[in-house]
Order: sequence, then structure tokens, then C-alpha cells
Amino acid sequence: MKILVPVKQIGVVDEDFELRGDGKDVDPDFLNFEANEWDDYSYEAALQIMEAADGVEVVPVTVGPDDAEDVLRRCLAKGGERGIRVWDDALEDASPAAIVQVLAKVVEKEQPDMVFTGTLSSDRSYAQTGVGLAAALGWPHAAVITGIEWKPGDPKATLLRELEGGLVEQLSVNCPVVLTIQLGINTPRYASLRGVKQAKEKPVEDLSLADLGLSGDDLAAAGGSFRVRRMYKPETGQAELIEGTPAEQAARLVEIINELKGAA
Amino acid sequence: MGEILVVAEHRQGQLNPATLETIAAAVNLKGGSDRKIAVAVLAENPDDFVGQVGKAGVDEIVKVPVGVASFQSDTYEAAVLALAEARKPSVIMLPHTVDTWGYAPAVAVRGGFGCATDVFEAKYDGDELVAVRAAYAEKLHMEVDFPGKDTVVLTVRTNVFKPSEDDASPSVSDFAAPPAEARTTHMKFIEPEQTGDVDITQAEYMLSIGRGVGEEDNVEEFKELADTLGFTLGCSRPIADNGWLPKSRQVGQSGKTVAKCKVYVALGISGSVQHMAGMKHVPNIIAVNKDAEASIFTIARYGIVGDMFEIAEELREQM
Amino acid sequence: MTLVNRALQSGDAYLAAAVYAAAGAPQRKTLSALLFATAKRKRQFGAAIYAPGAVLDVLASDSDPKVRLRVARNPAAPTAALARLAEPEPSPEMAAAIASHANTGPGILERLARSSDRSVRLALCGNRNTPPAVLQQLLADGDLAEMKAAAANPSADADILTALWAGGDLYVRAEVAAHAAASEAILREALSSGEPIIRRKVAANPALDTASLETLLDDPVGAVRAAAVRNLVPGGQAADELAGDPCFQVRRAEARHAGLKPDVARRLSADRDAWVRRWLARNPATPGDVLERLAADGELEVRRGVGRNSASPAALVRQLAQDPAAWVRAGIALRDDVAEDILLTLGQEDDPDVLSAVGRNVRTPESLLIRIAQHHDADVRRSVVLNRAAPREALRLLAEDPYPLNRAMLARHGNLSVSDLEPMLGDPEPQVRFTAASALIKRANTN
Repeated sequence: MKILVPVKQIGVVDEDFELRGDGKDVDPDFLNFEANEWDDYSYEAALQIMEAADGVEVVPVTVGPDDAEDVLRRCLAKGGERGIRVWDDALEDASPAAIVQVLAKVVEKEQPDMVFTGTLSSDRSYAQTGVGLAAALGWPHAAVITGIEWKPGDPKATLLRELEGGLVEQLSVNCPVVLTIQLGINTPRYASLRGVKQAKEKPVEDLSLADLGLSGDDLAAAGGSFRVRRMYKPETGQAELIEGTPAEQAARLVEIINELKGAA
Repeated sequence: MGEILVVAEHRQGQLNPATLETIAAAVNLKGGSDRKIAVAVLAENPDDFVGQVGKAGVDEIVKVPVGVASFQSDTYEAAVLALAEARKPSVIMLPHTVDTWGYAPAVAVRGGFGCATDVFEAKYDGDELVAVRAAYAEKLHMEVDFPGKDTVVLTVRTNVFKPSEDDASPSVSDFAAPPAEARTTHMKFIEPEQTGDVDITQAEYMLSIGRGVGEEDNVEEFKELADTLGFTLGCSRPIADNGWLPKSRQVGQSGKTVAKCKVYVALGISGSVQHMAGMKHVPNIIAVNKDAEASIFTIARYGIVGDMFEIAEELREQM
Repeated sequence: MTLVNRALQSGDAYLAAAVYAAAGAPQRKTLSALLFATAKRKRQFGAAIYAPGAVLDVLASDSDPKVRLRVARNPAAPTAALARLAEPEPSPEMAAAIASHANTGPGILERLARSSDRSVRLALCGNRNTPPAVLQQLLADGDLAEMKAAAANPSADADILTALWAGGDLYVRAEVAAHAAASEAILREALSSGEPIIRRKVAANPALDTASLETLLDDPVGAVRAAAVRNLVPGGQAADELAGDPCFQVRRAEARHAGLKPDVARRLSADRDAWVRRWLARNPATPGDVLERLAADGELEVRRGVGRNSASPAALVRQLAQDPAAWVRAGIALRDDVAEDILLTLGQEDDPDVLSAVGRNVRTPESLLIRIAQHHDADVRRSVVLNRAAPREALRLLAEDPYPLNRAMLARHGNLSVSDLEPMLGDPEPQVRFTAASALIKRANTN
């Protein structure tokens, strides 16, 4: 019994960032790399199932360059015995469609019983990978999951799905399944210092596209989800500063608050 | 020239108003062209919604009876794929919602379509479809196109496009969706709990205080202000650490995520990574801080560089 | 191995940052290579408020304008670094950052006043270190926004304020009315102003005499009366009749006044407005019989207030230690005069607020702290770290706390021994390594 958890290293932009030479992304020198917040929750969900039953393996997998190994180690420090990292230069700037193809091959190879992804990653917020992967595999899927009731061997899982306005849907799903996990489903743990140390010794399998029977040409032939034309700094995105004396600023705030309350 | 196909969304018998915004986005994309706009209504009884989606600009409403009363991903996927197969739309537009998160990417993968999510602008550059969406926590916008794709799935950001007030009389047609094996089963909807206790994860309007508050008696002043405004009071970690507010009021890492919050007034909060983890998603953040360089301003919609006590006092006097 | 060598050998930039100031000149050179290895790292340290002054000093001379700008915007930037950044021709962004910085010296501010850049001028008008003569010069052709900034500047003198009063709009005049340096003539005009906001602001002016405040107690506008009550010096005639004021703001201000008289407190203790009672409960001037009555109030925040009141008698404290509301009991556990047996009882609870309060109480015995240090909730465990009297035996249990913040805060604790700090230099979290190294240096310097 195995749960595969795709995780991602994300870039957070610095204040005074600059764009890459081709204008299609941020210059990586102005990106701080971190683990995607949603993946803490999906990994925790998998660990909790692992700890509640015997014989469950949790395997984190990431698609990313060398330094993306950190996000795998970060997972392995909390639990799990091995990780998988897939990389090929052809995956630079890959769109969700390509990532889906790669992960589908990993699933084929690993034969997990469940796949948990984050609902989205906070850098690009595509929210396509999990559900796209399920489609490529022909698996059932459910997105934005805030509750999982399932133990190994159960043919169905009972899920909670968070909808707009605080409404929650309870649904059951056939397994195996791909779930995209929402923040707040659990309280992700912090790795112990011992766990961090041990994680350094745990094996991480590095796979190339060829190892998965894919090539850059295959990905190109299938076409991406989209092609980035350019990125740019929007006019908005900066706080609108309210000026004047405190009395004046407060008066404007009262106006804004009333407007926002009225609009809601 | 393929049509723009909008897929309507509904839940518990109510049309999701985001559907009308998506229609507005389609009308906007169509511009002066003679591209057609069709709206597909996937429902147990599509007639329930036909009257509501016949907005100005819509040429045709396609009734697609499906065997489920509420959203079911396999059924919706199969129906939209069959529609795409039969009608060869250039663009399939859906609102960017929890339901479409659950099936739009699957439609794109299965159909081999282009796909961009959370799009707030779509236009044609010559014959080329171009969509604009945000990246890196809204700090950048990205323009994407879809070379080689005859059909593109776009999910449209809500609260961007203004629905038309004008009704039209589009033609109405029927479409038989192929049967699909439903691999998820809706059990029930659970309404949000109305607890007596303060639950900041459910609060819509919040006032939050940070280290700048200084001492315990000052915290009381902000509680009083929050009461006056009808806002729920939250705080950053140091305030809870001091025992000045309960842990249950702490926003951020090791505290709570204010998931339902619409307006968040941050007073004297510098914006540590830990705090922002719990509130950076809030659409209307109003930050008040002495330090013009405080990180909180990078995620705020409105900012006041100033003293939290002076602003608070004036707010109290003016409410 | 010395800390400097350790930093060099580990190649750890965070250790290097912590030891930089303590290192000698030759070592600084090697440390610099590590600290300032990449543009990204320099930008990062340039913006870090924890960066030592010596590091910021070096970065202030960096060739990368982005790095220099970050230093100028860093609240920790030393005065000398800012002076250097202002030479010779700063960019407008740089000039604005320096002009608004609290550490910029008056000489630099004066020089920047020659700028015609709006954001520089505005920042100078608001900077409390800008000398009055420079303010005057800026205001000679100042726009309304600049006048507003200057009117709130403590550095503005009576002459400037008089000019602002004459030339400003309502909001400028309101700020001037509240300014401690406003002239007698302005105060008199403000007192009889037809604008409530002006009267409210002058009522809050710390320089206003008692007689004027008393006339404002009869103001028709509640907010003005409330501001006057707040500004009344304790012991002065805190007008009794205000306990019956129809405006709740006035009664609230009365209830929290330091000069509250017992009979006024008694009258306010039954006020319908819960906030009047909440303020009363917290007021050290509130007499014992009123506190006793408030300790039985139906509103839990009123009871919490009594529990937080330093004047509450021991018997009342003991009674509230058994309050049904955990938040009230937590308030008792925070008191630094609470009896040990109460702490021991509250320490048996499982409520995180109560336990955390016990954990950070300097009177809590070691055995109990040791238990709290092993609690499953990271926030509860951290309360022991926040307890300045916590003994090493309890603290060391947290040295391997899974929550990184707990370890980082622990490294600052004075009761930790050098041998506890040393292993923290190898912590996976940069913040922990930096704090531990800084703590070790501080100890080496004080020994």
C-alpha cells in the first residue's frame, strides 16, 4: 500500500525583482525558493494514514532541478523512507500539461494506491496538476479536499470538499484516487532535529525523462497547456496609500470599510 | 471561426452568479467579431436555469440534461468533452470556482486542449487567443497564448467582469450527454456551523493587532475598537504569547488561517512570513504601520503609514 | 574552535553575520567573502533587521544600488551608514528612504531639504529629527500634504504651528490644536471653534490647562467631553456628574481614569455598557467593594479585567482562579503576585491559554515548568522559553523542539549555558544558528 505525494519547490519574488532576459519569467536571482505551503498539508494527510495502519509507504516526488531536492528532504524529515526527483533541462518552464505527463509516468512506475497533491502551488497558482494527472491516469479525483476518511483496503473514501461561502460537501469516491488537498485539512507537523538529520541519509532517486520512457520531443509534440508570451509588473499590486492626517486617513478608512461591507 | 462555449454553474438549485460574469467575459472576448457565444446548462433539469442565462450577447443556450442534481466531476467532464467534440468551440469558458478546479484541468488533459486558469483578461491578437492571469502572489501578470490548440479551456476569475443587465432571446437547443460512470457520489451538503464561540477562521471582517500594541491595557482599546466596528479581533503571535489575547485569536503559522475573511485591517503588524501565511489570501487587506517598508504593505490593498493608536482613536471617534 | 573559525569552516553565512562585528580586521576580510558572496545574499542581509550594524555599514558602500537602497530602508541602519548613503547625489528613491529614516542625523536631513522631490520633502516634514529651521524652510512653499505632515511633527515649534494654523485646512488645524507646542492664542481659538473635530483635538492636547479642560467637559459633543476626561490629570476634579453622562464614550473614559473616585466607581459599576464595566474592572483606582461586585459580573471579560487588575486583593484573585471561564483563569495565572498553590492547581489544566500563562509565570516552580516544556502543543511549550526565570533544567528540554521558532527564541534565554548553545550552531534553521552565535558572542563579551 503506497501513497505518492507530488510536492513542489516554489519561487517567492523579492521586492525589487527583475525579469529574466527573455521577459518570460522573473530572474531566478530574485526568487527565494521554498516548499509549497499546500504540500505540507497533503504530505501530512498521507503521513497520518501511514501512521494509522501497518504497511503503508509514503513517497514524495518532485519535478525540479538539483536544489529542488531540498523539498524532498524536508518531507522525508517528517516521515517516509525515500523520495523521487525527476528532472531534465527540457522541463525548464514546463506547463502543467508536461508535468502531468511526467507524473503519470511516475505513477505508472510506482503503482501507488493513492495520490495526494496540494490544491495549488502559491507561485503560479495554476491548480491544474492534480486533477490533470487524474485525467491522464483515468483515475477518479476530487479537488479542494478538507477531510479524508479512509484506511488501506477500503474500496471507497469519504471526503469533505470545501466550497464557496463556507459550505462543505461530503462525498464518497472510488479508490484509487487523486486528491488535491486544501490548507487547513490538518495541522502539519514540524520535523524533529533527528528527523532532519536522518533525512539526509534517505535515498532520493533521480530520474531523467529517458528513465521514464519520455523525451523532450514527446512533451513538445503533445504541446503545453499554454505558452508564456511575457510577464510584467502590473500597475496595481501595490497598496494604495491613504494620505493625510490621522483624522483624514481614518475618515477615508471608514468610507472604504463601509464600501467593502456594502459590496459584500 | 469556432464559438465561445460558456458552461453555467449552479449549486443547490441556485445559479452561481459567476456564470453571468463568465458570459460577460465571453462577450468581451468576442468583441466586434461575429464569433458565436453559446451557454451550456448541465443540470438535472436545465430548464431551471435557461431563463437566467439568456443575457445580452448570448446566441444560443444548450440544454444538457445530466443525471445528477449537483456537480459530479466524471459526468461534467464527459458532457463538456462531448460538447467540445460536437461543436468544436475555440474557447470553453468556465468560472474559476471550486467546482471547476475539480474538472476543468481534466477536460483539458483528456481533450488535448490548451488551458489557463484564473484568467482575468482574454483577447484576440489577430487570430491568436491571449489570456492574462496573475503569478507570484499577484506581483506579476503573465500573458499566455496557446499555439497549435484549436480549443482552449479558460477559467475566469470571479468579481472581474460585470454581468450584463440586459436580457436577450437566444435560441435554445438540446444536447444529449453521453452516459458517464460516476466515480464520486454526493452525500450531503454541510452548512457552516454557527458557533457562539469566536472562530476567526469563519470571520468575514477582522481587525488584527501586532507587537506595536505595546501593553495589555492597550489591547483592550483595540478590542473596544473591534467591537465598535463589528469586526472580529485577531492578533499576531507575540500578542498571544504574552497572554493578552487567547491563542484561538492568533492568525498565521501555529495559529489559524482566516479562510473566510473578506476585509482584514492589520494594525501594527509588520507582516512576518508566519503571520502572512494565515491571511495573505484575504482580498481586502488594509494595513496601518509606522514603518513604510513593513512587509505587510506588499500584500495590502490599502495602506496607511502611521501610528496605529492615532488611527484607532480616530476610527473610534468617527464610527 | 573560535566562533569565527567555525563560521569560516562551516561556510555558514548566518554564523558569519553573527560574528562579523566581533571579528578582527583580517578575519573580517575572509568573513566578507562568505557574507557577501552573491548579490542575492547582500540584498538579503541589507534588508534584514537582525543584521548587525557592522554588516550594514559595509553594505552601505556596496556597488549594487539595490543593496544600498535596502540598507537605507532597513530600520536598523546606523546613522553613519545613512550619512554615507546620502553622498554625493542619492537617487530620488534613496533620498526619500534616508529622509524618512528615524536614524538619519539632522545635518543630512538639512542637506536633503534642498531636494525638490515631493516624496523627499514630505518625508522630511514628517521626520521628528528634522530641525525646526529646516521645517520652516520647507513650509515656505509647502503644499497641503507637507503641512499635514509637519503639523503632526513633534519638532514643529510655536511659530511653525501658528503659520500652519493660519494657512492650513480643517485637518491641518485639527493637528495643530492637538500639538503640545501650539501657542496660547491657538489653544484659545481652538477651544471656541465651531468645528467639533478642532475642540476634540484641543481637548486631547497634553499642554491644555485644567480650567480649559473643565469647560470642555460641558461641550455638547460627547466625543469632545470624552477626550477631555481622558486628558484630565489624576486627582483633578474628575467631574462626578459625568458618571451619568448619556454618552457611553464619556462614561468609558471616566471608568478608566486614573483619578477615578470611589463613589463614581460605585455608580459606574452597574452601567449597562459592558465596556464601562470592563474599564472599571481594570482600573487600579477602583475600590475593593466595586471590584468584588465586578468579579461576579456576567460578562467574562469584566471578570478577566478584575483578575488582571494589580489592585485586586488576594482573596478575589483566589476566587477568580476558579472562574468557570478559562480566559479568566489564564489572566490569574499571568499575575506575578499569584500564590504558588494557585499556579500548581492551574498547571494541572489542559487549556492552552491557562497553561501558557502558568508556563511564563516567574513564580512557577521548576517541576511544573519541566512538565509544561514537554506539552504536545508547541505554543504551550514556548511559554517556558518566554519565562525569564525558567531554570536551565526546563529550558534544555526545548533545545531540540521540533518548532524552529521555539528553538530560535530559546537561544536568546539568559539561563541557557554555553554548552547548551554550542550545539545550536549546527541547527538546520538559519535563524537558530544566528541567534545562538549572537548569544555566545554576547556572553564572551560580558565575561
